[in-house]
Amino acid sequence: MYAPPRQLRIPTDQERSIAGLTVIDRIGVMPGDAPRVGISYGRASLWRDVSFAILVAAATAGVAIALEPWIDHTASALVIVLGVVIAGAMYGLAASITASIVAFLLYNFFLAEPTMTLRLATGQDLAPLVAFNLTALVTGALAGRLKDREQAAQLANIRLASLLRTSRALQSTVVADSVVAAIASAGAAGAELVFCPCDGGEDPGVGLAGSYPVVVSNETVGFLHANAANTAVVDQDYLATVGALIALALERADLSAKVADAMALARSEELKTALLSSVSHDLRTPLTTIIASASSLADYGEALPSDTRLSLLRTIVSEGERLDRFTANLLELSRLQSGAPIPTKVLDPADIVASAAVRSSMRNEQQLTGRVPAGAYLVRADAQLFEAAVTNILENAAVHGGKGPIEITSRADGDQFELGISDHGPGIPEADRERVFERFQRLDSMRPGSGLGLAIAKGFVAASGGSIVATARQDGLPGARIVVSLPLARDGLTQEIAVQHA
Amino acid sequence: MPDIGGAILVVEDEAALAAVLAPVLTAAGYAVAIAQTAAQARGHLDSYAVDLVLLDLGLPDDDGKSLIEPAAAVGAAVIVISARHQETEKIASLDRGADDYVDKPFEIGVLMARIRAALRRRGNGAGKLNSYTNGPLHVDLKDRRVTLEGHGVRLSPKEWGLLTVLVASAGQVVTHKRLLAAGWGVASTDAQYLRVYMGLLRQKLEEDPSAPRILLTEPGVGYRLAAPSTT
Repeated sequence: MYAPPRQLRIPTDQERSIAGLTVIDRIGVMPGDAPRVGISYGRASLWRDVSFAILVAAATAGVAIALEPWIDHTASALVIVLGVVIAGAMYGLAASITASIVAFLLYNFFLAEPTMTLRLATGQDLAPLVAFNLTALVTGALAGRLKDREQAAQLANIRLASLLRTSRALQSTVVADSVVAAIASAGAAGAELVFCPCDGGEDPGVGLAGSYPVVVSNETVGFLHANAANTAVVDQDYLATVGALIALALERADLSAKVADAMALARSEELKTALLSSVSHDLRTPLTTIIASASSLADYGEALPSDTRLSLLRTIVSEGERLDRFTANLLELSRLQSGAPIPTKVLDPADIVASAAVRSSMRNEQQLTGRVPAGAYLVRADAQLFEAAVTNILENAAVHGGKGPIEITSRADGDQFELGISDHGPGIPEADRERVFERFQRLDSMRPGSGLGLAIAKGFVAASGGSIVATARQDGLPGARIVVSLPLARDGLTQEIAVQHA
Repeated sequence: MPDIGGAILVVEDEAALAAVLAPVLTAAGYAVAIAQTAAQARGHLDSYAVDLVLLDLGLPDDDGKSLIEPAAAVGAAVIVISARHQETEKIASLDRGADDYVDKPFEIGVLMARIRAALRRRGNGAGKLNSYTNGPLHVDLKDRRVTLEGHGVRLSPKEWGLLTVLVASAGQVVTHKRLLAAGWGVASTDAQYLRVYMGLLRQKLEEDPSAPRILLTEPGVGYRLAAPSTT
């Protein structure tokens, strides 16, 4: 399980002085943890070690002196040596030498003849002094090496913990920009780490201490700066490792950006494919009917009753018109797709609705009631887009709008012209009223259609500077009502045209 | 045109196309019923005798292919109406038991020929045509004889095997799979063999092997032996 990196706390100077030691592990300190005491010794700790060494030496010497009446003289000397060894093992070289001196003095004073003096009776009495000091040197050196090892192990631990934290922080980065923040928050053992991304190989962080270039596929992408308080931890190897981690994170971020791009591309390709297959279906459907009708007339003309022949011919005409509407939609769509600005003109919506009604497939089955009074309103829109939008809405109403008439209403609302188209179909559930304008959304899959008509209508109205919404019928009867709003044209030019028309 | 007659169920959601097909098929001597959804089609198959189903795959309520088995179960031939590029759909339909397909858009003459071929095969007891004639070519399955303008043509056993299958389904598409199974016994054989052997057959049977008129290729799907000439 991945655990988020814990907040690091930097021990205060006060804490450091309490410990009497240099606290070097910044990132290892967690709230609640006791500050880890460390590795470099201050003067205070040296004095403390020496005092302890003296105590140990004195204690063992005391034991040796106390036991002297029962044990042999040499044996008591060995007990004193043991004290020196213990002091050396525990407190290092300086302490061990101090301990040996103390041990020698005590031995000389209490045990060596003549006792109770520091005078040496014979040259042979120097032997214990030499023995004590040699023992002290050897054990002290051994203890020192042990301590070095321990220190090295602790350093390695700190580096490792810090690297682990850095790598965790970097692991959660998926964009290149967050790498800088991740590095700053992860920090490093005893150092402030700053990662400065660069573009042209120039180090933007000039002036910061310590600099290490981060290289991704043979290109320097940035510099890692370390403001190191403790160079024992933050050395060149450490920086190299963090640099490698950053490089990895950047590469991963780059890869995931590429994956995201590829997915976006795939989605847009998917959409294009869906659009293309929908369009080719929409084009082929009327074509199939036309070719079947025409070839039927050619092959079976005489065998068919005259009303069937007429109906086949009518079918050819109406399916031809349907093809024309599809191509008009496609042309308008490609005009929108080109991204060129759509010039708007001042139009009479009455003309647009009238020609849309002719173009849509409303013939016998559905009739159109209500109309937009000619000359009552002027709107600013693109004529083709507006007409295609109204055609699509009427078409949609004809297919889904039941058997009743399709009703058209119009009114001015503030600076907007409102065109309402209502049908007598089942209506659109409130939850779906936004969705009907999405591409490939078909509320009733039992009805034919590509799910593009209203989406295209919305696109066209929006391109003309208007809006389109789906609501319920105003009179409370079941049925859908689509309302198109377009800005009314009220500028000087409009009035001029209005005057000309009048 | 001599049509055999029979009951045809047109399963087509596009009302305009159905409205064209119904009167023309009726004029050609068939009894026609129209279903606009898969559910309607199933209902019709359950209640009425149907000789052939003309099936559009893109139905509003279900995949048209799901109607193939129920249609076959009542002994009706199935001709799928599909878009030209939908090769996998065609193959899947044929594998599920459809007899043939016709590409959209189609001319009525092509559709009628497919309908006749499918009904003829049904009428002859599960596809047992004993002979085939097309122009100068005559194939007699009983006597195992192939003649071209009266002269005997020698075929290798594999060529004969392939021709037998094609003659049995004359006028209808035969998938690569079926042909491979017939010629090599294993449907998974490389279709390249098939291409080679069909080339050899064309050399022997076609007037102009480079512009075949009898052994027709259905790209990506299989081969079709042209409908027998009625002379």
